[in-house]
Amino acid sequence: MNLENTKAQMRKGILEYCILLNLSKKPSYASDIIAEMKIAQMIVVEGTLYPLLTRLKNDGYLGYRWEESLQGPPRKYYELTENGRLFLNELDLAWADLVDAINQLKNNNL
Amino acid sequence: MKKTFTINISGTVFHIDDDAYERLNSYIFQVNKYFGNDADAKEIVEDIESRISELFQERIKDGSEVITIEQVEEIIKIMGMPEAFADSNDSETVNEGNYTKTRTSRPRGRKLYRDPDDRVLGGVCSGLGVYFNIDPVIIRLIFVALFFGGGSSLFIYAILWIVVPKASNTAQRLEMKGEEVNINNISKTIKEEIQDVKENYQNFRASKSYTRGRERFDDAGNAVTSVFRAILKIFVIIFGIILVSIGVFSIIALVTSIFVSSEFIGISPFNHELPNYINLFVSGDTLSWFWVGLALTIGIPLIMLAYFGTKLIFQFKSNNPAVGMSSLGLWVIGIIILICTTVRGISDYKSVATSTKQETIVTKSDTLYLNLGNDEFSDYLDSNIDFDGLRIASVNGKQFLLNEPRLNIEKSETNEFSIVVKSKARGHDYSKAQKNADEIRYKFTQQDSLLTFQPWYMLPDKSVWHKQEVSITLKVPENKTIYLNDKMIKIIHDIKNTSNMWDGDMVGKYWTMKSDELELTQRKQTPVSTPKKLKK
Repeated sequence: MNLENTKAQMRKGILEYCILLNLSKKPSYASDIIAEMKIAQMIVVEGTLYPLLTRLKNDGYLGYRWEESLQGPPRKYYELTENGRLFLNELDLAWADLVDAINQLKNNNL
Repeated sequence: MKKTFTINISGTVFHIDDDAYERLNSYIFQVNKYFGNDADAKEIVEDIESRISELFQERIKDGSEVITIEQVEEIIKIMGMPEAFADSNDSETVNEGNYTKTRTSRPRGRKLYRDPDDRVLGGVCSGLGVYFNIDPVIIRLIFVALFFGGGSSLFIYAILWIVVPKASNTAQRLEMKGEEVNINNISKTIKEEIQDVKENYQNFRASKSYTRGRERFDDAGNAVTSVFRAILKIFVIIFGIILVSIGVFSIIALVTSIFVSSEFIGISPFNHELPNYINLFVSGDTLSWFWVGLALTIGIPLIMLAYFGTKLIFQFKSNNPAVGMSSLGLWVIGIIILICTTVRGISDYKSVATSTKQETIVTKSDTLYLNLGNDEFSDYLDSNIDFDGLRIASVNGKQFLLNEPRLNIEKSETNEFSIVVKSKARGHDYSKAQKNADEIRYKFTQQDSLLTFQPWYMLPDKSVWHKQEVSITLKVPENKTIYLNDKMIKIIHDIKNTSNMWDGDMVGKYWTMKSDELELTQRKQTPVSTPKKLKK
């Protein structure tokens, strides 16, 4: 286990959460999500995103609509469904718990 | 300078370099392969493609017109290899995020390839070894043993070398080993190869001479390979030349024999008896068609032989179906013509007709001496041909058909000797048969009490054999006598007599007609008129 690998595993675990967070603000299309995720250093290779988006869509958390684009072909705009919002709320709680747990672990160690 | 393609990625058109296209194509192929075939996969791949398209567009905006291999590599780096896409929730077999997804795959059969990694000559033995899971050394030993025990293995090896493809890329190497061709296996093999290269490099570092030796060995191997291929090519060319020569010479021989024999009968340099005489048996019209049919049936395969030989010599691969089809068509036409002419020839013998002439022999004598005339053609007869009495005489380059008549002796109804000459012939219809029968000329001469028969009857010039027959019946009144000269043995046929004597024994004797049959009569003196021999 090297450091990079562990970091990658950590990111991978919360990537779903990050995508849902991103989409909770406004609907956006894949390239925008990628751009944001890259800034947040959440993804290394872009290909990672697509299977995830498809799965979230299939699970009913995401929906999409086609929107005409000024340049090039129409784009797929993803947005959160009602289910997705509920799911995100759950994840918010889970994340808060996680952060708490980590903090607690850190403090206890001190 | 590079060749470019025009491609369409999710609705946008790009110009792309040849090599860049190859790279991109294989990448998308890998992605496709990774995600499989279901609807989700299609969607994912479409999304990825549209992203790739977008990334390209950004780069086109930067000013470059054509997508290069560098740009493709860059985009592949951005998108990542399919293995890195691993969506841990996607698969049932999750192992701490480690990608151990097992995709259902169709089992792939092994394919026979030549193994270039483990070769002595062409990698045939090692390929066979991999295919049958046997140590290639054993197969090599078998080949060597076979070589010394007859040399057949050299031939087999050469054929396999030519026929079996070399496993030149990773996918083919996997197929050779019978492993499933998927991303995992390909990357595994690539890793192994890289490992090999590393090891080789280390070896190279460790012992330069070893590597050099190995290289030299490889060079030698390549040299042997090319020598063998050259020898093989020479053999193929020689074979081609042989085929062409056989074909061409046979065609020449065929054409000359047909033309010479049909155009210049008798002065043919080829001593083919039958073609010369065939006009005597088959009518000219039928004959020409027969020749055309024969020329096609024999000639077309010969031409094809020459054609195939030429292909071998110049090693051009033309699979023009027109050549094969038209020659096959001509060949079939040839056979049909042959069949038709044969049927037509046979139909020339359909009807039978006879022509009968009766002549009374006026003589004072009670005894008739029967003799056979001289055979003027005896020196002109073709000794090779004798179809049941039918003979061919060549006089001044012309051929005539001759046949022997048959003589029978019966009792006459009247008190006079008489002769009935009955000619019989066949023909396409009755009138033709009748004509053929009428054409036959047969002569006999009477000199007082001496009757001389022509030993042959001849078919008129330009007429064709139609199973013409001549039968002579001599009618002898009761109590009158005949004498059969020795020579008569040639034409008498089954004459009834009271002694039941064979034809051969009847000659040289006197016979008297009694109530129904001839009766042997004893007389001492032999006739004066024994014919002198008039040999030519």
